Amino acid sequence: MSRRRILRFTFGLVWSVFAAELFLRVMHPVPMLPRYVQPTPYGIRGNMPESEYWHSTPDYKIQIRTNAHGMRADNPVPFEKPPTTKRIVMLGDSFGMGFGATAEQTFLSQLEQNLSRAGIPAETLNLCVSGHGNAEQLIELENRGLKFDPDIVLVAWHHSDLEDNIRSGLFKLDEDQLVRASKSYLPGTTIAERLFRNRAYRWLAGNCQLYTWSREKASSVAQQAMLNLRPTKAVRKSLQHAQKGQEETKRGTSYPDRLSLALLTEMKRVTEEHGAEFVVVIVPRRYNRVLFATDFPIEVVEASPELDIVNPLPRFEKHSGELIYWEQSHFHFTPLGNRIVGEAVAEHILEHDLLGR
Amino acid sequence: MLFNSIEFPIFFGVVFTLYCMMRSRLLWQNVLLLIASYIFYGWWDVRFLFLIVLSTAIDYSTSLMMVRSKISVAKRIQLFAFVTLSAFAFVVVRWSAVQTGWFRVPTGVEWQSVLPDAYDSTGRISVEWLILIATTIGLLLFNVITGTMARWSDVARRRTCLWISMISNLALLGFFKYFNFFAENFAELSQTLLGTAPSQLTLDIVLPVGISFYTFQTMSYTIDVFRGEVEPSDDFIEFAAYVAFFPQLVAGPIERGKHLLPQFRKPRPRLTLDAFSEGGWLIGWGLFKKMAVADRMGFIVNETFSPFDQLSNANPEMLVTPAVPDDGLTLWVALFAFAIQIYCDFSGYTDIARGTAKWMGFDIMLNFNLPYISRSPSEFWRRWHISLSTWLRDYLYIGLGGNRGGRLATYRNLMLTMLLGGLWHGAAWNFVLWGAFHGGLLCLYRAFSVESGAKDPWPRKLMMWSAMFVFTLLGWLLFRARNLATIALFLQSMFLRPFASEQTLLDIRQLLFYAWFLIVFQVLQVVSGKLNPVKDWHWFVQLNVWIFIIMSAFALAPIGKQEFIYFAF
Repeated sequence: MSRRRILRFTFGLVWSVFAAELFLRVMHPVPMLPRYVQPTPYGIRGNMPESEYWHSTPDYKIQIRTNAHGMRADNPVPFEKPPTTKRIVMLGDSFGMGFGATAEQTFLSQLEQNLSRAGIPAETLNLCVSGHGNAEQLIELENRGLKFDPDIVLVAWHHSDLEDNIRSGLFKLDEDQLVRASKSYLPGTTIAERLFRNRAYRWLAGNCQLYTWSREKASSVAQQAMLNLRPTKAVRKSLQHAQKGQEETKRGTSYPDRLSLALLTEMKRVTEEHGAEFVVVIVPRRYNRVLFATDFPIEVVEASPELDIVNPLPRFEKHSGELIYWEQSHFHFTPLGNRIVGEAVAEHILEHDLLGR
Repeated sequence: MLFNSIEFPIFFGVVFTLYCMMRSRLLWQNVLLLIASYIFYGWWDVRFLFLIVLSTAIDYSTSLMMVRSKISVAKRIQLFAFVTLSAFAFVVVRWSAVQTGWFRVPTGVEWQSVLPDAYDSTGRISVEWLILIATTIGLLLFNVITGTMARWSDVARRRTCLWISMISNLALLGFFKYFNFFAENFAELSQTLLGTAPSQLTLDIVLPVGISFYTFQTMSYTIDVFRGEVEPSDDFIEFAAYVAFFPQLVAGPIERGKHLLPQFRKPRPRLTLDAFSEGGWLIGWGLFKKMAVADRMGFIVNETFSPFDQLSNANPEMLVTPAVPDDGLTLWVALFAFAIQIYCDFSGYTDIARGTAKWMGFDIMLNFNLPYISRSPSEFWRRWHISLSTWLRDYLYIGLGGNRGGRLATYRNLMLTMLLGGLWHGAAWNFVLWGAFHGGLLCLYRAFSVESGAKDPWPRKLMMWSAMFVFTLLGWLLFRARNLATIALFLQSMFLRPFASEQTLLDIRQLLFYAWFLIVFQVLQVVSGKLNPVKDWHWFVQLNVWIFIIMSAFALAPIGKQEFIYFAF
């Protein structure tokens, strides 16, 4: 190869990266939502403590800050509960963590504000981690959540939990009994932790759209692969049926549904053993600005009311047509969406006097 | 398997590597292509592979019998074994018993459910076994009949073979594609005329993907052999690979035996840098058209059409459901978007098919040649779905007498050809109407001798182009509407209430955002007179065009697999 060709090739390569970045910025801005996670001693992902980073998308630019426990908060929270204070611990994924909202706008903060207005001073602790499913939430609750001595444990249930529970392989159902199947689930976390220590990488993850876009594409392929490789044959079949909407049995009886319900029931048992209340809030799925639904097998739960459910779907329908979800930012809640959910949970707690005991 | 799925590049990568390794072994390459093609098709549904095998076997044997009075015993045994084994493997064996993981890699087999029970719950022999038995008996009978044919005269034998092929292929197509359509219409007619309709006339039939394409391809081959235009294929593997050639199996182009079959008979040329870059461009450009343009246009189209899709001609609520839309301009924009969608979807598929075939040393015919620059309906059909329009011209229009029987006969032939062309696209009245509309246009233009020549002044050219483009859009309304009620409502709105709304502006904005590059590029293609003007441009400009189309295809594509529209035909 002549020197001229080598030069042209090198220039072409560099230019391609630059032009692809330019393309994304102009034609298809990518939401930059880096996840600062690290392995926890109990084998799942946790937020990096004391970190500060930005989420920037075509819809918003918001700073995410975590405290020493990795919670989305500015102040350190001691394990001991102050006297006369009620505590609510929340477990969930990016919706619960409040992606798309400032720390004061998250639905957990909204809940705290609503309760405060109603004369109940409650402290809310956000233990949500982006990407967590119910399996990780259970482990988080057992290993950390209960140490904060909560009065209420709140779980934000999102439809992605159905797949996340299977993908993680942490628990399985053995003849309808929940069994721990794996000690840990840390997909790429060790590498991510190392990379995020590097300043240049942090800059890349927070600023380079081409990198974020490529990483997301690769990660969606990897997630699909894991979903197919992890579970047993029967589970995979049930999951394939559920994904195709071909579930031969009624809602709530597919394997992903049953696993999710078993995990929630176990969380409830653990919570009640501790003397606290357990509440599940459903995060509605968005189809468009006027159409919302939930994949939670709510009719099954209603038939045997073991779980205390808050379903904000009717409230969402009242706000039909308004901007409840960010439309260019992975459809997380807007401040309005957070407000609706915060109000729904607060009303439920007050109505059932869950903090009055 | 879809070209725009993650499975296809992996599949093609493996096939292409093996194909290159077998460079000097023609037979092995053909065997590989046949297996790959069956895997490609079976990815959707293994059972329907048997229809391809059946169509292949019928046309292989009938075409051979046309030219030779006898088929050798060895060939008969080969054919018998291939068809019966296929019936067993594709129909009787339950592939759902094989557990698969990612990329359908087998992970286990439920051995007890691999074969169906001989009798079903009602005590009757199960359909799968019945098909195998019927196939075996059919083959034995066919052997007896063809054995006696040796004593027939040449003309009688050739004609009988042609009829066997035509009837078998049309029966397959008719049953799987048109049975329910005719049964439903017969029931409706019976209800109207006699006040009673036969019950349970329709069947639960799945339309096999690509059946219209491969049956037309095999029929054209047999007709060409009958006409003496093609030497019949002696090698079953070569012929089967030609019928099932995966790049063009499910959505065309409908290749003629005289063009594609000889390419299976001789060693394919080595992949040169030019062929590689030309094939690569076709694949990239095809993916861009499908993923970044067609699928995005689909959103605009569906947003406008879907509220009307549930209307039924027989629905008594028809008159009280959706009123005539007030913003007729939105409907015009949606039709424009559909024109882009269907062009990009279908021509995108063809481009990818041509590109992948080119990499393997095959030349597949051009199927679209800038159809929207046409200034007359006859020009449009010379540029749109060329493989189908030339098929209809050569085997139907000319067969009916073409333009040799005077004016009225010509109009009749044009109308019949276009009506059947419309029906080819789908078993629904809107497709018949679409065919009739284009047939009518062809007749009208011919009756008034409206043609636009290259030497016409530009205002006339512009006028003719505008008129034809509007006619094309109206044709697409007939094509896209799911029922006649929608057509009536839309026509009223488009012509009597041509007003804009907020939605009109949103749709125009979206349309221009996703289709601007395609429109600019098509203008460049027209101005340069080349379908691929890029290869003459400076390397740096070429690089940027490549970056644009690749990034568009992968970044602008909607989430999830989007099927090709023509898979339904």
